[in-house]
Amino acid sequence: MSGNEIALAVGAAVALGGVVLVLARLPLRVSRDAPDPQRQTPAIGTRS
Amino acid sequence: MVNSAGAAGPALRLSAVPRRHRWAALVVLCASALIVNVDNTILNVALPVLVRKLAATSSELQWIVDSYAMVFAGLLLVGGSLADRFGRKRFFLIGLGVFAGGSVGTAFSGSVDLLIAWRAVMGAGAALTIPASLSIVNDLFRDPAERALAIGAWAATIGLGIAIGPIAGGLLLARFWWGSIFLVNVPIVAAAFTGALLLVPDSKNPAAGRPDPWGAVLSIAGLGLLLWAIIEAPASGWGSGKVVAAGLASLAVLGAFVGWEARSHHPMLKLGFFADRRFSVAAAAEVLGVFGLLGALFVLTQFLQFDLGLSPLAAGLRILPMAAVLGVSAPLSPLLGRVIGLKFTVACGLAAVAGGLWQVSAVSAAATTYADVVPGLLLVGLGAGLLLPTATNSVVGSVPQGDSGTGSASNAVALQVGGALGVAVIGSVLSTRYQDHMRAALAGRHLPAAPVQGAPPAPCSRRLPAPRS
Repeated sequence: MSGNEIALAVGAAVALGGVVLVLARLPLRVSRDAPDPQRQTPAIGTRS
Repeated sequence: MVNSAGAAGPALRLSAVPRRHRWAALVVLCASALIVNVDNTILNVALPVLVRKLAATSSELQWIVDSYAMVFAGLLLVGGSLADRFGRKRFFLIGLGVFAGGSVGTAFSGSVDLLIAWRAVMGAGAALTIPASLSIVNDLFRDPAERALAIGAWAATIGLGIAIGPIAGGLLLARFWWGSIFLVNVPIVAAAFTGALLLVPDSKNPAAGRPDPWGAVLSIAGLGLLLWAIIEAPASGWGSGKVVAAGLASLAVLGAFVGWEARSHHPMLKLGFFADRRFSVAAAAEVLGVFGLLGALFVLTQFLQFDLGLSPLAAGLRILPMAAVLGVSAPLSPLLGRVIGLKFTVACGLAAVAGGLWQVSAVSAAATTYADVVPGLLLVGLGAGLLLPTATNSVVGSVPQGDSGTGSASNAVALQVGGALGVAVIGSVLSTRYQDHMRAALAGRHLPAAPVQGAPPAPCSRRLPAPRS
């Protein structure tokens, strides 16, 4: 295999590893799409 | 000015900002993120000019590029923490000011040493600007659907900035002197500064504890060393003494940082964030996806310049379809996320990046035309466009609102580390293939041969690809 092929195959393998990780461990949804009491709490002060 | 009543009543909410002001403010914030990220890659096409005008050696060229990346990465967590504690708008404006000042200083640097120092100043400004800008986006848009779209737009500008940097640099260098690639930042930053003054509300975490100076020192040292080791590895070799020493030192310092943060009553980075998989897994996905994106950009740049003999500008223009697909798919990512969910959107993005890299890999040995690599290039752009907005939304959305600056900084650290690793690892693999080309290119520019021995091309052709057309 040429350097190009190996380099890109390494990149593809890393990204595929990411697919496996995400499918195994990432929640289906960002929970704040549903009402999130913690985020509704005004934790922010504002100033001009 | 938006929120001018805030001084009279601290209870004024950001959600009270009129809708049209929110979207106008988003344009300002995206413009700032774009110009900062353009500077990650715009310099690459100017390196040959710097050799001629400032007599920079290859080692000095490396520091011109690395000083920005190291200071940028090293200060990110500190920048995010300061924004949370003392005001996000305040540090956004300070960051823009520092970035503009650094740009002017860099443009008019009369020596390589000054250029390196001013690039570090630019990196410091970028480190204050990026976390603050994303956390302001997160503050401004409270509706989940709107917030996902806004963060999608912000994340798209990050990817676009990386891709259009070489093109913008090439276009400027075709007409103006080398300093123009830095001076062009000033009017854009000035417009963004003015827009931010008028449109962007300030916010901070009123419950923030005391500053964490030891955490700041340890994170700066640890991340700075880590980035240096990664960037240096392709040139010096992964097993070289200084790379191994810097890598081990960075791990030791980052370990001390984690230990300190775990015991501190007022940590700069709450380690509990990592227990939430929306934070830790999404950040890991960003590292792996940007690894592929920057790695692909790097390989394709080398292929177009050395195999097809194109100039840096011509090569940059041929990368444009990837940026275009990224720009189109990124706004669609939040919409897809609402239909198929966070997990599958991010997985689809990573799968497209992997598929694109695989396609280019399959044809690269026999490829003789640009058309051969276009499908892979488009797939990588599509994948990055799907991945970055949704993963960014997940990382930033998983932290409490008061810590959104730190959450945004963590997101930026993931992008920086992933990109640096992608270029370093893939650059190392490619070193043998392009070594002769690089040596020939540098020899033509009167550079010492020794530093080039065994040195692969580094991030985005920073080792002087020679224009052939």
